[in-house]
Amino acid sequence: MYFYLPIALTSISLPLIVGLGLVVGLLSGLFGVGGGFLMTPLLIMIGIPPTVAAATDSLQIVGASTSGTFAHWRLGNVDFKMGIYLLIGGFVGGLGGVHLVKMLRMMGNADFVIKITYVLMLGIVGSYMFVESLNALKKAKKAKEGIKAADIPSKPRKESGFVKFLKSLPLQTKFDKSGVTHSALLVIFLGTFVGILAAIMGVGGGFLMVPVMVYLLRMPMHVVVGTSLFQILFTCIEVSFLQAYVNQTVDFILAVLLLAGSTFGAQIGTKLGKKLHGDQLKILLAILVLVVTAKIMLDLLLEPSILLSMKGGH
Amino acid sequence: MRMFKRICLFNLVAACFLIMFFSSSAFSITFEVSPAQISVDSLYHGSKVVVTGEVEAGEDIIIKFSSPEKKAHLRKKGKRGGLLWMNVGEFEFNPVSDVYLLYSTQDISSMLTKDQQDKYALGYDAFKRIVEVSPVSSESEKEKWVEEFIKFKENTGVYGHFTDQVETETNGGKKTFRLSLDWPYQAPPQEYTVSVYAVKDNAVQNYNQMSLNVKKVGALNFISDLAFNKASIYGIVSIFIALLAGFIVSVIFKGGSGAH
Repeated sequence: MYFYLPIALTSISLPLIVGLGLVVGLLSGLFGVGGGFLMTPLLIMIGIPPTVAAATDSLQIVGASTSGTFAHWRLGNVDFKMGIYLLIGGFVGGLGGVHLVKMLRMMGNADFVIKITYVLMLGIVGSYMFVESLNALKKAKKAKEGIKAADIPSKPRKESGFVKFLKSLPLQTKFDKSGVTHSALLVIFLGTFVGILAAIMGVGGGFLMVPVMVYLLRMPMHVVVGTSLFQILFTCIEVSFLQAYVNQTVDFILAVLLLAGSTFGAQIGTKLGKKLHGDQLKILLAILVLVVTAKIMLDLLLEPSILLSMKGGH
Repeated sequence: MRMFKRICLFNLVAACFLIMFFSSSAFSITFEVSPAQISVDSLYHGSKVVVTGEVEAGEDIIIKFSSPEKKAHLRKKGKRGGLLWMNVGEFEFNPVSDVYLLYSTQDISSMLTKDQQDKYALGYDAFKRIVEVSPVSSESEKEKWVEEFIKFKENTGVYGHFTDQVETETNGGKKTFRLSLDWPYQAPPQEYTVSVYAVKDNAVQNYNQMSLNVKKVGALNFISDLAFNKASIYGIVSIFIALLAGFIVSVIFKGGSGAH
């Protein structure tokens, strides 16, 4: 069964598109990423024009992250306070990032900078998460095997100058749900940083926000996933409206078909995530990020069969 | 008497002209396109289109599907840093059509002279000569990128040249033809021109044109109209429905699985 899309002006297979939505929604519920870095290239691959693929994906993420946020909220996994602070930063960063892209384009070579940033960020984040969570899993295994705590050389944790500096920042705020205390300025700054990078790379930034929350804000993984989805929901509402209003590139039918899969996928992902350990989740996300990095690297290295492409996308 | 002779001569010449005119129009190509309109609804996945008609025996046939010509802007991929393939610029192709499908009884280059190909824009060779590309620095570079353009369009099924799909049958002094094709769903809804050319002695002897209207209808047309003409309402409604879908599925899962 095929559906014709009113804005993309192409016909697509129903099982294919719902299946795609289901898989990406599952990843979204499982890891707290919007999945834009996966969905947009996949949509382009099946013949959707790049501008329509990116815009429609953001509307699809609105639905999937609503579903995921609700599911995580019921599990008590959403830190609304942290989410709102990050959102403020993300909004400022997004605006800054858009202007930065404009500047880069004027200087020429913008695409090169964007692609390299993309690959480097994905590669570094993926590798770090992979190694870190692998070590954590090994430690957990050793502990399980009955090695006495005394046998493991435990380093007394000394507060570094950097941590002292962070603690000296004003507006120290306690985030009860995450069980951490940080300066509101730090949280907003990190949100801004991710916002800038997300705007440069043309993605929602979930896969960058998750590591920032885990490693820099020291939030527990399950709260990270729920809070990330909450933040993504609002970012994508803004983006979807702007794309529909300014560019007329949101394909409603395509979004509904994707949603038919992704909203259910997000629920399944959330339930699956509940059964997995935080480090297992991290290592799976790390593998996913590394696979995507490898695919992008291959695309960059191999000569494409057709040397022309439609405008738009990234 | 002289006056009478002059009138008779004038009438004779006029009659000859009339006979010549009507006899030549009797040779003009008659053809039909079925359906004359393709309705694009929500379940549209392309359509079967049949072209049937008649030419003089001994003539070859070319059938062309095209849309109004315009400029096309495409991104060009190239190597950066001697290693990485990425978008490195943009080309303008002008004039080009969204769809350019040719069906002929023989190869175009063996049927028509270069001038005739160019005059009627028939065949990829003529296409390469007619289309301008900017920015390019040489004729060979232009040719390379027009070839890439054709490849890009062929990949989505909207460009093509086929020499084995027109069926013909000669009956007395006439040749009937029939072409059945799968109209590509990738061709955007708009008005297309179907042109049929009768070819003999390396030249087009006669041609005729009809239109093929590919039109959005029903709910699909309503959504498209809303998206382009009432963009803010379209955006808000879309977001509302996405939020509602996420919420409803969330409620279904809560009730269905007994999760807390």
